[in-house]
Amino acid sequence: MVELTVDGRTIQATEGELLVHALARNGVFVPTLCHDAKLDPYGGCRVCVVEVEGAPRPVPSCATRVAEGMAVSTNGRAAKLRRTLTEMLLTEHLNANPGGRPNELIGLAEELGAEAPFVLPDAKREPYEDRNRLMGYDPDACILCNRCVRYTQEVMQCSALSLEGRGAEARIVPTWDRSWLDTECELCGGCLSVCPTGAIYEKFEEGAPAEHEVQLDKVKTTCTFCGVGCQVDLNVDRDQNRIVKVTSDPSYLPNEGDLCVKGRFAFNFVHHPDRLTEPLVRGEDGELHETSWEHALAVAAEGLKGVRDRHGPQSIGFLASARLTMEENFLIQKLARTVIGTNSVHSCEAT
Amino acid sequence: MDVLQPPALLNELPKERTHLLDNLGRIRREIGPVTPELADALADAMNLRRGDVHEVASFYSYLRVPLETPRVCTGPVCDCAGARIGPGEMEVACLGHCDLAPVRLEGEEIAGGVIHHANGFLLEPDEARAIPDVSPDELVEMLREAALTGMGGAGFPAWRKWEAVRAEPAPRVVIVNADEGEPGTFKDRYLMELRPHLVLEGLELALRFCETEHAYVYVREEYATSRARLEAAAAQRGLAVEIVVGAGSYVCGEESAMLESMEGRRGMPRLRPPYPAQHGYLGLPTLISNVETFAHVARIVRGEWTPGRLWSVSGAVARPGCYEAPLDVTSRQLIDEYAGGATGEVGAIVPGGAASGILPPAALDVPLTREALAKWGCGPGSAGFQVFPATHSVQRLLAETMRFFAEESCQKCTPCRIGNRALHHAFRGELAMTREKMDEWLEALEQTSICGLGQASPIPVRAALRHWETAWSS
Repeated sequence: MVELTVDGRTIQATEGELLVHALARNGVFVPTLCHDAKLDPYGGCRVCVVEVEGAPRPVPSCATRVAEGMAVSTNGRAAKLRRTLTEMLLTEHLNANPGGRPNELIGLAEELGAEAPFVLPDAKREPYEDRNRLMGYDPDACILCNRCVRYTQEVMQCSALSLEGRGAEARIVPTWDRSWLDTECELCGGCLSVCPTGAIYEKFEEGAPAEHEVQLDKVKTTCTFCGVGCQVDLNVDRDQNRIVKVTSDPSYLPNEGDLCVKGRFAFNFVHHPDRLTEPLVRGEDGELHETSWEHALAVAAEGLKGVRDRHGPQSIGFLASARLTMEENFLIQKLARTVIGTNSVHSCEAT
Repeated sequence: MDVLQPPALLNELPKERTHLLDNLGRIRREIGPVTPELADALADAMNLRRGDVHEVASFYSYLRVPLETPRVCTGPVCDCAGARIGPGEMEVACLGHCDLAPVRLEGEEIAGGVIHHANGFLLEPDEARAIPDVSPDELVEMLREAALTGMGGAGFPAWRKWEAVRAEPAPRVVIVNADEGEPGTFKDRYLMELRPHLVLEGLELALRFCETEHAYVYVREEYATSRARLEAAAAQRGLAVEIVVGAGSYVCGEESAMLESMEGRRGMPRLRPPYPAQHGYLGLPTLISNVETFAHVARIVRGEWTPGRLWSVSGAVARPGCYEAPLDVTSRQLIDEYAGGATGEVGAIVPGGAASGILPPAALDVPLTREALAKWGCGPGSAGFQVFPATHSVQRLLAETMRFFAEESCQKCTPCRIGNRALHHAFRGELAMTREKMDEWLEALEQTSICGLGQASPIPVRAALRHWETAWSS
């Protein structure tokens, strides 16, 4: 442990901890935009600057480690600089709400009372259109914090987004301005989950009001798509009783807020009219009829036993869904080997 | 390009990421401008992410431009000398030949050829001499006694930098910073063209001092002659040195950005600490010094040194060139006694490169030392001394200076990316900015920028606002 003083108060922190985290734990909130605890310290947006005694200039608290005896000042000059930096970001922030996601820059500006004194004449960036149906991106809402690009590089280890050019020409864009569908992108949506301004957004939300997300109820559950057991929040519109989108939180285990394309985007089956909600069994009339689980299972068991008796155990094989857990897969092979008597067991996860 | 049959060159190129910039440069020279298809093929050949190659290739000015495209310099001196961009020509922020303004680069040749106006040790015969036998402690003592500071612009005591690297465990790396790029500065080019052996002698001293054989020279792309002369001199000396060629980016002259560039990433400055002396090229303790610093070290060890430095003198003078002169030389002396006098009434002086400030004619007799210039809100910087005639508008000079910083900003930090652009537009008259707002933004630029580019760009603005106050009151 190390001891440091913050605005005259003594606090304790773990050696090597980032200053911004130590401050937050002790109730001193310093805003950040480019910082993400999942990623390597970047120190680009500079809104988290604080003064440290002995340092020639204010330092970014998101990229500075605590040290014994450090004397930190978070208000005064640092607060004034923070306001100016926020103002600067606003002068090239032409579209604050492309897809209805929350915008941390606008929130910060409101909190600090910062307004754009003018609009930079060269603020307009080359637009980007993408034919994919899941994610949209408006470069004019981007503040070049580079979180999305760093996420693809450091977490996903893939080549989906690039920080292109420099100076006024700089912009973030899918690799070589291609559609995400033509890059290594897996459409996991991690980039939009880390974007502080909503420049990258879920496409089905296009045109939704800015306060859309806050009106949604979050229902925490386990993703049903595979055995990993990622924790997700279903964002539910209570009025319409529909899931609007799926998010996750960095505090959730085992996925730490990361999701795959299915977990994040493939939830529309829930409300699909063809979705089965009750077991069905085909009757004498050749049509499917709703029935109880007990009856449905009895019919299936009888059918399987009949096949085994007529054609032998090797006439039956088991193909398990990738959505099953390890334990469920274990039960499937148990059923195959001990009840039916076959070793023909497979899971589509293997293909 | 047929994606199924990539050019054979791609398979011959080294695969290490540290060769990415060099490989991209070779593709441009030997195949053509770097297209997305070529970049992807290179990424595949080097086993890199395609996005990483996209990021790097788009960072530099030249990689996507054909070799034969004429490049026209629009730096402050060339702009004052009437530089104009023709159709099919590329505008470049500064080509490092301000003494020949207006300058145009055709392929690797400066249109009209290069002539040197110089004096002092620049004109002494450049021969391959063996380095004298001095111990590391003796060398540090010599540098300390000479009070030699780095000649790149920041003015940090050389002996401290050298000693800091030696204090770290081996293996160590030595890099000659030949990425001279600040408008008005061309002294390193003169040195490499006229005294390559002297520079390499300094490098050899550094290598022995650091007990290493890892030697690099990072030289800007525009200096083809410098590159050739260094290569020839190194071959003559039997010195193994890797020459890294830039691709058009001023900020890569900033030492931590240079390390990023050499490691095959975008040339964006690193956060400090750690400093390059502790954690430099590929994480090794690294000594990065300016070309001229190495030359001075060699002369100090030879016992031939007299206090002074090389001044790149350009603009409205009779004999623009590179002159050795004392540290406390005045503007009037440089103009009259070295550069053959002014060609007209002097309107403004930039004492040491774009970021050093702007002096009014009233300061003609002020010694160009750090202390004396500080009183005028300026500094000697990289000694890129530029004289502007009274007929040239200071506002235009300032607008062009800020355009340079805006275009060369790596974009990473908010104040540098946005602040420099706003100031550029304000001095062009395209943006209404109150004086109060300007002061606030200058403060943020100076205090919160990551590297020297943004931290120093307020200097010329503040100097001009102070010395030409009446001109701005409207």
